[in-house]
Amino acid sequence: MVYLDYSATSPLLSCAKEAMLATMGLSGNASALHTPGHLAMNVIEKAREEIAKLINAEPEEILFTSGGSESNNTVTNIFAGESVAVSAIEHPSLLESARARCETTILPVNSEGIVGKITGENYKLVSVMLANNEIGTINNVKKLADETHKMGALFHTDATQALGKIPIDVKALDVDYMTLSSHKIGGPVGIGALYIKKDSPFKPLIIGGHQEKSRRAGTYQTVNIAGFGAAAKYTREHDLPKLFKAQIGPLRNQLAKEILKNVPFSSINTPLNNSLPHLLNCSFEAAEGESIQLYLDAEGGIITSTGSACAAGDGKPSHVIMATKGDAEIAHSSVRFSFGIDSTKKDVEIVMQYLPGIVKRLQGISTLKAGKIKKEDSYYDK
Amino acid sequence: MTNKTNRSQDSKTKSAPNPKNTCSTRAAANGFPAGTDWVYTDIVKEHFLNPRNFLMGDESKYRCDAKGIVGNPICGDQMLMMIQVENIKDEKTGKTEPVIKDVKWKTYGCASAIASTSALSELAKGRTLDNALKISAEEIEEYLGGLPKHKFHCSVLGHEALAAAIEDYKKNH
Repeated sequence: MVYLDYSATSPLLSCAKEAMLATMGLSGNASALHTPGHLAMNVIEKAREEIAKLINAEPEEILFTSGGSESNNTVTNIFAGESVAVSAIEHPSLLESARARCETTILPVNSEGIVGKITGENYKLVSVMLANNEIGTINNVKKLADETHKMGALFHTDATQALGKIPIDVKALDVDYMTLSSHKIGGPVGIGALYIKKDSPFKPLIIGGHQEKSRRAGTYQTVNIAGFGAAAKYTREHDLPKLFKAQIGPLRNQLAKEILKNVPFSSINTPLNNSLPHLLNCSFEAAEGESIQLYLDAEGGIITSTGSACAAGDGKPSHVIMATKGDAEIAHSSVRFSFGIDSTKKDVEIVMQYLPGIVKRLQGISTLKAGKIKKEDSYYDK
Repeated sequence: MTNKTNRSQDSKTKSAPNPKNTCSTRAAANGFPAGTDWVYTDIVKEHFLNPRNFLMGDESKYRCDAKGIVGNPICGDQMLMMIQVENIKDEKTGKTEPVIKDVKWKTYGCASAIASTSALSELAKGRTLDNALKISAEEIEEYLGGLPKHKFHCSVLGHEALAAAIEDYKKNH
């Protein structure tokens, strides 16, 4: 199988699995003061240190959550009823929870997904993701955080996709809150974290327990936390952001180049010179994304994602492609390839063995005529 | 429509960037075979992988007596149905009735849209126009052994295109 859906979830790293298996024998509740409880708490605190080190934070600034969605919800809950500004391409867990709880202004993005100046004023919080999950665009979070602080507001960034793919230093970025997730870096699903800069305003989302210094109620997920810690440790010790830049980025660029050369009416939605190195989002005119995805799965054993409404379940095309490209057909026809640490040149070759034929066939039976997007508009040729 | 080829299970044969003998995602990534377990029934999958009666390429290549189109690419699904009609005498009644002799279709859409249009083309062929008008979304869904709930309303539209084609025929004949 050619697994190119690492941005949806990374398969579990073997070292994370080992750490989890080792922890399953710890039967105590980590909040208890007896020996089994304390042994479990030691595992949790070691993992907390590892996650803190990965982003240059202090361990006490790391709050464990159930994942990125809870971390984002926790942040919007702190600012419930307040005026906030969030980018148009945030993850739905940020976008929708902000809309539900706060007086929300949507910050527009350009065709590459970049937030320009922060328009408007009197915000209490501004949230712009470090890197986008669908098209991979990296925003200039340092600049945006500085601008936000000058306005007297606090800054949150969702680093779920960026973690482990590019170097992250919360002190250098000067953010007040940062969302992190375990399963995008090869840890288990169901665990994440929120970085909360020391002395920043906080209000728990889940109340009714003293865990996490009364910041998040609920019995500790010792096994999942151990897996997250192991994945964070491996990411830091092996400098995976460096590996992604040096080895995975060129693979991604090679795929982009070959798609534009060999797949008719293809275009690239990812800004290749300012994006996560492992992610490539493309559109194939007149061919629908879910069909491409499932033919790739059935014929080539190639696993990908799509921004098509058909695959989403809510009947709406990708809000990210709509915000950047403004075209529903491009969104419906989009496919995301996301590489991981074990991806190879052979994976690119296999994709190119199947993809052109699949797209040509779908274009052949399509009611739509391809040719709307001019070749010179596709990103790679710029 | 598919090219039967050997699925590449050994795609990770070349050395990976990730240093050998260290932590890896390979075991987890290869833990199950691709293309084997979908949200769709086996009948939907079979019609998607081997659709019947589709028209590849320029629609002017197919001589049809009438056609109908439904759906909107903005919503993600669009179907075109083209029919050839022949007046056939019913042996029992002695009445001559227009019958769908052949159907071709084109679709822009998801797996469910492709499979349901393919299924419709099978259901419609050989029916009298009046009988073909009775084909409902429910009948198509039943033929396919069911569809995920969120797929039903947006992707089973072909019967409306067929009805439009039949109306088109009746208007001009």
